[in-house]
Amino acid sequence: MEGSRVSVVLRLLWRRLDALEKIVRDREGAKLAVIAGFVVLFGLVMAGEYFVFRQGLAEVLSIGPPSAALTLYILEAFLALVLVISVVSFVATGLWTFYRASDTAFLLSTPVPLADLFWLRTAETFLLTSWAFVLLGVPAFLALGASHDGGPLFYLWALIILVLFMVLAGALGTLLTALAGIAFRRYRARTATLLATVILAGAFALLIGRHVVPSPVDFYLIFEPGIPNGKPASLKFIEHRFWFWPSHPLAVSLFAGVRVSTAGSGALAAAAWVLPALALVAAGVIGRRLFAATLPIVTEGPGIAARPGARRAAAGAAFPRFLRGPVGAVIERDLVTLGRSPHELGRAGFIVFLLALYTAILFVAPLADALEQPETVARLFFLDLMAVGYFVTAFGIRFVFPSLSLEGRGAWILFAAPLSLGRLFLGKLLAYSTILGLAVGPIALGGALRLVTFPALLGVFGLLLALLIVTTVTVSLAFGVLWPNFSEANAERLATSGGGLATIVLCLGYVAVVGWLGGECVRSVLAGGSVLAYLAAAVALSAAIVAGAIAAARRRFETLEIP
Amino acid sequence: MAAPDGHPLLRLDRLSKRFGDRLAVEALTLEVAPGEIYCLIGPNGSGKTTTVKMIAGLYRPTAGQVLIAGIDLGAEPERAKGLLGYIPDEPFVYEKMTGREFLGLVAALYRVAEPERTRRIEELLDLYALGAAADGYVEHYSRGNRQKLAILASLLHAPRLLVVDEPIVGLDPESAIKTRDLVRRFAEMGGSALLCTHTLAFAEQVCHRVGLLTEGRLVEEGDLAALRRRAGLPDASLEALYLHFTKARPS
Repeated sequence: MEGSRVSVVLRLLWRRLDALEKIVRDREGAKLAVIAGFVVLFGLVMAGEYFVFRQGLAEVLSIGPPSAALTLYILEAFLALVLVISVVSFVATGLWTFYRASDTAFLLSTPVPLADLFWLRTAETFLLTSWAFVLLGVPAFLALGASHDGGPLFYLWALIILVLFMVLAGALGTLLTALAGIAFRRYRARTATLLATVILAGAFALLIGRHVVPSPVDFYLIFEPGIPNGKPASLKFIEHRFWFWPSHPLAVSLFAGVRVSTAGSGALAAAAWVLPALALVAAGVIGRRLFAATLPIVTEGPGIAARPGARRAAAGAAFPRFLRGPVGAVIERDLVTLGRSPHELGRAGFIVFLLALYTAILFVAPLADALEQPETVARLFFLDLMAVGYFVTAFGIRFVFPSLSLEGRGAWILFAAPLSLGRLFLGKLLAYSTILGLAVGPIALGGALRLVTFPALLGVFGLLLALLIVTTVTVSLAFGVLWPNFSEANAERLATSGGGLATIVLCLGYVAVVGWLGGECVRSVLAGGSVLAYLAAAVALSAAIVAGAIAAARRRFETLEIP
Repeated sequence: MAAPDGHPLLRLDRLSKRFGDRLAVEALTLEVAPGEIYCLIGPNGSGKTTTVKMIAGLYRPTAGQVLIAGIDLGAEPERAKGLLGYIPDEPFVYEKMTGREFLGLVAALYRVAEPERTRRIEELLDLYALGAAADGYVEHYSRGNRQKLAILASLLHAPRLLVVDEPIVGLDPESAIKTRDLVRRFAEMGGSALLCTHTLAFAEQVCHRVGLLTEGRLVEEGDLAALRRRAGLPDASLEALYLHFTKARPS
């Protein structure tokens, strides 16, 4: 019975991979190129992370005795951060895949047991959200081994820890998804996703702010030389600091694998094995029961179980309510449909959450001494612009690039209407730029304020940020017009198409150049020079890209057809 | 066959469409006069939907012209589309909007200003008694209600030409009768309609002229009497005439 159950889940999972298998089997050149492009891109990102981690850990090693405590702190903080990203991502995605997946109604009409459906949804959500382990975890673990001359046994041990960590994160994500599902079962789907994501993200941000990001006082303790009761005070302090994080036993076990140290204990080593297993059992027993209790309620009505007598949105209200003219009406429709799609809203919120998390870390990090050095300020300014540009690109590729393709089977409505597509393009450019500016601008400027206090440099950051936003939105919109796919309704698949890959490559390349120009502006200002040449270069580059993208989109509109 | 301003409301002039090596529509020429309902019939793959999509501006003709009330659709698309009401074969509308919001959006796209917009929406919703469903999200509509919504949306801006791909598929009998009367009334008030359909009984009831399209070419055209004369079948229904003409031209 159990064997057949596993086979049903695997068979259903395999159906999801059919498309990929077909591409490989039929040797679909264009799609294979896209997949290869993404593999190369991910490889480059992972290689970059590996070198940064290895260099950083080697620097830490070079400082002598306190390096052990600092390495443990880095491992604890890193695993806690990846755990938070994985769990929040799991819940935000899981509330959709567990309760709102398009094939749920079909599967419920088949003799597939609810328990199998639960495991299927768990596996699907895990596969969708496990990118953090691969992208962040693997390079970090490899760098740890390389910087500490770890032998084959260490890498084997690191692999075991990584698997245990993935099990732990997946099980906690499943449990929290099931809890959020039952807690918010009477809410509309978008409210439920938003509430769960905001509560979890807020709670984790608070925990990370209070326990993970070190304060200057923490550094004094980390460098504390005392060894009371045979264990360095610094290690005791770190263990005390992280004892309630589920990732703690794993961090200490990984640390013990690479450093001969007195950190941890036998009980903690056992906890590294027991905790993931317990979490998995809890997810299986409690999560499955909660899922079975929630799913029928959710599938009965629209959203995550509509409240009896719940008022339908905006009954009798005129449309459009806020914006005027044909272009305004289309933009208001975009906003209204985004607001009514919990999945999309959750994704947008997650990107903003990650930016806010990054900015919070920037704010509480002990940078006071480092910011005394002009060269360090310039480098951090460059990196900050790169980071903000990365978030802007993530938003552009996920929400702006697919906006034309997502008209999908409803594209006839716009294309048969007396609507100027050129004006619609410019209207969307203005609207998305404004939204991004409002969502990202204050957070990014807050982060910049931590690095520079000169009004002139804040002005430079503001200008470069505005250029980043407008150029990224223009490129995303234009490439969406150049490579539309009206038969694909999944924004994530659209974002990972050939056009999406081209958008990512161009935008990130542009972000790197603007970041470098920003760094040069800082060097120039702190040396008493002028920034005009650098700003003029940034404006000229952005204008050239924007003009080229708009011209290409306009030409494409002249030949575009709606199937 | 001309409008008061001297133009037919629809004129296709040697219209062609090629998809790769395949010629879907070949040098199609036809006119629809004010007050006239023209039905385009033909087997699957004969080029009916391709023709309709070119008239609606969704496909670009490979050659030839679409003129709506004398306005070249290729040269002045916004002016030409402003006179056109289009109902597709698959009435897909935005799922996360209510029916009333969707009609408001379409009215805004066609620049129907307030308070005319609200008055027209209420008036049209009454046509199919859709008022009760109008504030529910379209994702919960039946296929028939989506079709009704698409029909109402096409009439919001009081178009002069109606282009409809399969007008009554998915409608219940009562709504199909209402749609038939709606199209007739539209033509009686001076509008023109080009219907593209496989429902030959419906075409026989409403159309003034019929065009038979096979393999992208217009092979027969005329009113029922003319088609019967040409077929030598004086009492034949449109269905019998269709079978007669299509069997006479095996593909």
